[in-house]
Amino acid sequence: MHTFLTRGNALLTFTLSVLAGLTFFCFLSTGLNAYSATATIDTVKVLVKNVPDYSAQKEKQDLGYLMFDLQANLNPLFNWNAKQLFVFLTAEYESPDNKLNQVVLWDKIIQRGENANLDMKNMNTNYYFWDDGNGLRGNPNVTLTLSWNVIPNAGMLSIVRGSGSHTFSFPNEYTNVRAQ
Amino acid sequence: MVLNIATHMDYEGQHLAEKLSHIIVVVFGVIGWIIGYVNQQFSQTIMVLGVGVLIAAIVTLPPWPMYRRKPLSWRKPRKEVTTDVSKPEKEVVVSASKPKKKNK
Amino acid sequence: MLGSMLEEFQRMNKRQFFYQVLSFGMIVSSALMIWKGLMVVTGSESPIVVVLSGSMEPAFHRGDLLFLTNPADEPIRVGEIVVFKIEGRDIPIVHRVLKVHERENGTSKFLTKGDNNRVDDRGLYAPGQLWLTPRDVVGRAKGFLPYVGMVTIMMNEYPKLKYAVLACLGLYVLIHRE
Repeated sequence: MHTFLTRGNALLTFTLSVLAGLTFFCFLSTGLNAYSATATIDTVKVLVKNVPDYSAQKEKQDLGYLMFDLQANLNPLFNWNAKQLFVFLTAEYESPDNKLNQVVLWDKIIQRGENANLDMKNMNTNYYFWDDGNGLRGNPNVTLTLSWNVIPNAGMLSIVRGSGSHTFSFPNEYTNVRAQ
Repeated sequence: MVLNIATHMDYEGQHLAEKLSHIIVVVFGVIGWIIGYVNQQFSQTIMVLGVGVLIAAIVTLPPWPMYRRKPLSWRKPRKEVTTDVSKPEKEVVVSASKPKKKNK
Repeated sequence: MLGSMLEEFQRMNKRQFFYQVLSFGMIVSSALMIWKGLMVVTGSESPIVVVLSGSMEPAFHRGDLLFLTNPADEPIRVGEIVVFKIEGRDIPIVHRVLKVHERENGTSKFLTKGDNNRVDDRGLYAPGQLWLTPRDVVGRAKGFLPYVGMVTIMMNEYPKLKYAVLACLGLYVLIHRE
């Protein structure tokens, strides 16, 4: 039974076990990493409109509009078990209808090797800032935070919220749609 | 085709080959892990491991002479190939004492 | 080779044969136990899933393995990767949460999007469905292992391979004697 093929098979199986072990130890070596970093966020321009969202309900809803500045150096987060960061900017606020609203306004995929030192000015959002109702106009307390989801080669998928946030308020008047 | 080539190892050779392959793969794995950790590149770990597997394959898969040093000393085939004739003679002697059992 | 296996099969007596059948059953039942145990611990009805599409690239590729949990007391938040079922679709979808709206009474609704997709998932939902609710969620991705699920994808795409592998494994366990 001890032929060329059985030996090859045994070698392959053993190699796979060793590879699994190495991967596991690689995961262990980065398991305690907190992946924390600081982000500086600022809003440049804030408007709110009241228009129908044709992709959802037909009634008029509040649509926020903003431009933002963002600085965050995420380069130190990368290690040999972090193949990608999914970075996203979240707006969080309370509205008459909902105790908690979270809306992702902007996101970016940063793979290892790409520049992760973010320094952006006057950025537009990637996604529409639709409220679930009419809770944006005059809302005094909308908080922007930057978070990231660390995607490893193998291991835990952790989501970390960066320290540093920016709170702003929406104007008390709707911007006339036609005026825009 | 491959199977026609003599791939036989003796028992001690088999044991040695298996041990050697394990040692080579583990050693390269550990070295690769350390290199990967220092350079923070897991791909390097995998590459070093791959080199180790290749070496282990070269060293332990073919039946090199070092694995064939202690062949089993099989008993020599008996000279009297035509024992068919001699056997019944002996049987006759035994069967004289216990004929029924042997005849079954 | 098959001939020698069959020969070995014939050489077994009844007792040995039943012993093999029992140990085969043991393997199957312990696999089932582990699966069900994981379901209890993680709270997800399907604790391990294989990624089947490229809609989350470059984070997840086809054949990557995800470990899911679904703790009932932990609300779903933006940025999490959820696996959810849509009415009328057999295969659950793995996408990221883009928006969450949570009411005072605890009910919540959310919207998802694949990292690699240009638009959100409203087009994927059932006709007229605008939001997902926690009920639709099978689990949330907490762990990741690359490539390992490729085997199951191969097996699903070539069913003959699946039966061949199953038959080989079964035969091996039944016939192989320690």
